[in-house]
Amino acid sequence: MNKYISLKLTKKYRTIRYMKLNLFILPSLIGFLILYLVPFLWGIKYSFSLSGFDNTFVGLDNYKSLLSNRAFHIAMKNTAMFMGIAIPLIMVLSFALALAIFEFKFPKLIYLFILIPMAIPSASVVGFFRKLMDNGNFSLMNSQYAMIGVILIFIWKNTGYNLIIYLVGLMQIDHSFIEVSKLDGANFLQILWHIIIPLCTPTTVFVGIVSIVNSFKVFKDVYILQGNYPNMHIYMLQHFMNNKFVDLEYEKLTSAAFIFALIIFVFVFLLFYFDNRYKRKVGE
Amino acid sequence: MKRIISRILIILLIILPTACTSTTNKKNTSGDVINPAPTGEKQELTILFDAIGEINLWNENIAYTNYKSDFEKAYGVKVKLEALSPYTDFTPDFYMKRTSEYNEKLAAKLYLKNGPELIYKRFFFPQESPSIKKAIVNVKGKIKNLEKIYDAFLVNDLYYIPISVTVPCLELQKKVLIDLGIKKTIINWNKANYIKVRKQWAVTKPLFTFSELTDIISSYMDNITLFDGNQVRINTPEMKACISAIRKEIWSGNYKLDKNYTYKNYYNMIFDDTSDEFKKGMIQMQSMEYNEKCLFTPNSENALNTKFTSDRFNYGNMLTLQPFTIGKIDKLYSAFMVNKNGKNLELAYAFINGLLSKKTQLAIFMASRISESQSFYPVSKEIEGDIKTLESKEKLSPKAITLKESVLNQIKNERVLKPYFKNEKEERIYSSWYGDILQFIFADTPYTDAELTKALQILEDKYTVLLNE
Repeated sequence: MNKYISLKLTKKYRTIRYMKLNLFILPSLIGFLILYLVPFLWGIKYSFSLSGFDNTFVGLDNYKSLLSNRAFHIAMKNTAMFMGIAIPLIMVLSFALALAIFEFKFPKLIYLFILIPMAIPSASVVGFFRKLMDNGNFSLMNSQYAMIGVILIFIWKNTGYNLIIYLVGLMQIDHSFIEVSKLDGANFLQILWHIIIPLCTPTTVFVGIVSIVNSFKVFKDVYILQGNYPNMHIYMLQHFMNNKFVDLEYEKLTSAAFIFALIIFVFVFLLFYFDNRYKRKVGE
Repeated sequence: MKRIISRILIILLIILPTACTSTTNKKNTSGDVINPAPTGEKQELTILFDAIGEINLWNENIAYTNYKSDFEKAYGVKVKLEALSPYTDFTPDFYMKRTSEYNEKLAAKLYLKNGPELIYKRFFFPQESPSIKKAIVNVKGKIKNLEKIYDAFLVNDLYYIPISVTVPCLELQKKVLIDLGIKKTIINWNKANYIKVRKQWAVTKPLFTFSELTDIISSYMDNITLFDGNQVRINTPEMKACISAIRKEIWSGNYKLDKNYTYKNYYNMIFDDTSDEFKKGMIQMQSMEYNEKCLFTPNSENALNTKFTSDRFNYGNMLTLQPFTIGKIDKLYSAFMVNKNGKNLELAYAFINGLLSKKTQLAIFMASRISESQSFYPVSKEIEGDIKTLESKEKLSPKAITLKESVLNQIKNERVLKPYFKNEKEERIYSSWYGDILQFIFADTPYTDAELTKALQILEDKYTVLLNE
């Protein structure tokens, strides 16, 4: 009987605890629902309508017209190119720097220098890069290699943030694995490949998602640098969507947003898939 | 918790697409309003209009204001006029800012389910953005008196309902031409004729104001087609030759140029009416020296208004059709648009129907005889005979009649009123390019071919993206 009461009490305690925990999350969840999820889903209505002014259902017409839109193709190509190059590059770079700081025990002041770019306003960043990339005779941002400039700005601004996350990930690794492998005669590269990188996989997935999110923010810098119609080689999906917003073509804007979101979901899904695969591998 | 959230999401996903159907006006698949059903209470008809500063563009024409009060009495309704984003200056920056501000304000009005019924546009305003166009009604077949207007207006779908038309002609100073040994001009001059005369005239060392500058630029540039389907063509040998020709003419040594002026000064002279350069240009244009020597007057007469063109032919200047602007001006007429979400659409149709009636169209013609500022010509072919009868009593110059007939024939043959720009984006690109070209014309040292190619390619890419968006 006592055992039954004790079980019931434990269950009740767990439920209360669970509810308490949920209550803590609730304000954030409500904010997320109201400010992000509901407007995002509300966009479905626009993407199937004739226009923002006219709710006539047009099926997939907006999506079809978008997929045959040349500017959308250019924007998709540039965005894919930017994400395909910049995100892996920043992940490798921030991991390498974090590892170097972690291994060589750099002074803490170095963190400050690495994090400073995040705190500098975009206008100052743009002013600096404008000077850097335009020597009067040659302007990188007006050339066909302008994407290099955008990737540089992105890496310069966001490496510090990723680096901190990686540092935390590295600090959480159980050092006994490394000590044992050293005793077994493993060299640094072997330790890196077989222990550090696999154990950092959850951190890498997180850094990947954060980098994807931050990659959207580079639009702000490019916009300040070159306006709403920049060099064709750095015309991104955000330019397309922003211009559609200004032109009040919400049906095209939302259709583009859903296509883009779908691609991001696939990207994130792949990251989680690889994370699970590594987890299983590490588990084995 | 997870289950609750997933259920909420499922419900939202089911509900949202069903919300795509309209809850107010019943519409057919083309999006046109079938049953606007005005209400029984005291009704109101709202007209949105563009404004320049404080000027109410509707009230500038006596025929329009009289018609408005007649309509209010006949239908027992109130016709409300509402101005949107008045123009305060004409710089490209202001133009772009104002365009987006105007679009936002207009969009906010058009989003309302019981919004304003009509939007009035003056002839020189740009086309609507594609999104706004989806909010207005294709009125073809919806208004009885539309069948009475010139067929040229009815070739395609009708979103802009024309009320009156204005075709500015080129007005040349008779005295200046006689001094040059030119005794007569030909109506329908071609561009080559005009440029030849201008070059002859330039030898007399005239003052160089924005009027001359815009004339030179447009006379060369308007010959070039910027659009090739979905591609903007700026980086072409023709454009380079055009830039070179404009530079050559301006720096020929004939015009009295300010030696201290750079590109920025000339830019201000044309576009920034708050700048010192603009003010200086205005003072120059009002000077005796300028007025005695200038080749053409900037504020030219409506070629269709025989009363005033006749006065010019008889007592003043020589007139001809503008050989370079016809075909480039997209809106030569004042027009109405009907808002799909308008509250009293039947009333709006009745209002336009009345404006296109024989009585009002004749009133528009009569108003054009009173003052030059009301120089609108009717669009109704029904009153052509009446107009001829009225004109025959006025002892007009035969040249004025010939000029009008020539323009009217062009209207009938869809030459004058056929839109040059396919859409608002083409018009936007053209206006923007007009500002961009100045940096090449007024560069301190001329661009080398390689530099020009590079600079033009950047602009071409930018505009191509804009066009294809």
